[in-house]
Amino acid sequence: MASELGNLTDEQLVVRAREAPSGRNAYLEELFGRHYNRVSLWCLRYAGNRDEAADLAQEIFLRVQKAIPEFRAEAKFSTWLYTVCRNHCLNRVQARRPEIGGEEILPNLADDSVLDIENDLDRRRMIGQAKQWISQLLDETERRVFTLHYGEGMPLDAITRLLGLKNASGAKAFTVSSRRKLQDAVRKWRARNEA
Amino acid sequence: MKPDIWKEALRDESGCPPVDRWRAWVDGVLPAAERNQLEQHQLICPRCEAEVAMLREFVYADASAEEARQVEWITSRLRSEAKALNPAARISWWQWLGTPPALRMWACAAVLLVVAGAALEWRRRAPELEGGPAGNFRSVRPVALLSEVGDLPQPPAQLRWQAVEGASHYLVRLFEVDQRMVWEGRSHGPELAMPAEALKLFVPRKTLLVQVQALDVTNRPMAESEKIRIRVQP
Repeated sequence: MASELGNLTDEQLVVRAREAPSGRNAYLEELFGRHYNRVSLWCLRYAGNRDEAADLAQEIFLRVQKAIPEFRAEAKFSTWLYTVCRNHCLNRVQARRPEIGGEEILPNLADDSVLDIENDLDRRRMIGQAKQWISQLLDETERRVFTLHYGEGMPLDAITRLLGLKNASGAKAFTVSSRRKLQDAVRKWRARNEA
Repeated sequence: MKPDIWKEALRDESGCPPVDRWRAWVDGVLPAAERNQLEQHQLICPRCEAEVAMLREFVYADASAEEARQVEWITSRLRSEAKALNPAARISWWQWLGTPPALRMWACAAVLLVVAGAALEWRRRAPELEGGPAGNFRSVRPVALLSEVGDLPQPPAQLRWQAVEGASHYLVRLFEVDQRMVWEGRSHGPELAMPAEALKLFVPRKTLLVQVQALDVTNRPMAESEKIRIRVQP
């Protein structure tokens, strides 16, 4: 039985697990066992300590177990597992720290008292402009940190560990340099529009 | 510019490829045309760029030595919790028999006979081996705990036990009630001051089991205590 299970792909194990009479079974045991290390490492880097990481990992596997019927076999199981991990960790952090959000994080970019920008450009163009600045002005690490922190609400210490940043202040340094570059761009853009 | 525009820019998914396409890109299994298309998209989409970085970390990350130790601890906890949640998996040998009830009964009877025979044989041979010169079987002597155990008003700051002659050092282990080991420490003498990381495991009302093992210079167990219950009262 064990060697037979070992020869099945993740996706085949999912199919067999669904067909098995009880919810959890040897197929799921084998499937989950293959991914314990991967999920544990992700959770460890996300949480920063092993106790919280173990809780996170356990919650993730319980969630996966419940959601197995939703898995589409044409995708890789590990890719689907990644999305479950990512979403679960983000939801947990956001539930605890609702203050993470653009309104609080980017106050200096929010000042529209000089110019009624919303009347000059429609929303899509505004979004396009913001994306262009982020893509063109920030370097690769700045873009990643900026997006994960401000866009996804991921804590800076988790980003530092997940991206393996080795500089002294980790992800925080990249948010500072990103804000400076973007503020500068907004200032110049306003000046052009005012003129 | 209002800040929610920034958030929308970072979360905008219009025209973004699904994550399984990015996975194929990360794995390097896409045809050239689609690969180029995705690479062009990454140039203008910080969200997808960050997603790919995370996905790559998830799929291909290597753990450092320290991380590997912690991951091992986490996975052992996951495995024991999975067993607790999945009693069906533990009786899978029974399903494996896949036979009618009558045959199962015969199988059980056969197993019982073998166990009984082995026990009798062990009882017959044990005294010879115990006194014998260098048999493979080594009897392990008991270690007596001297510290107060059972229900305690506070976590034990120190554990003491009876010294074992010839012991090189001692291993102290804490277990959950399901036998999952949660901590271990070493001592060269018959006592150990419990460090903070062990003390914090003693949550009020939670039962832990403690076991002391005496080891010789080759790390072979010479003696060990029972797993003894300790619970901190609320």
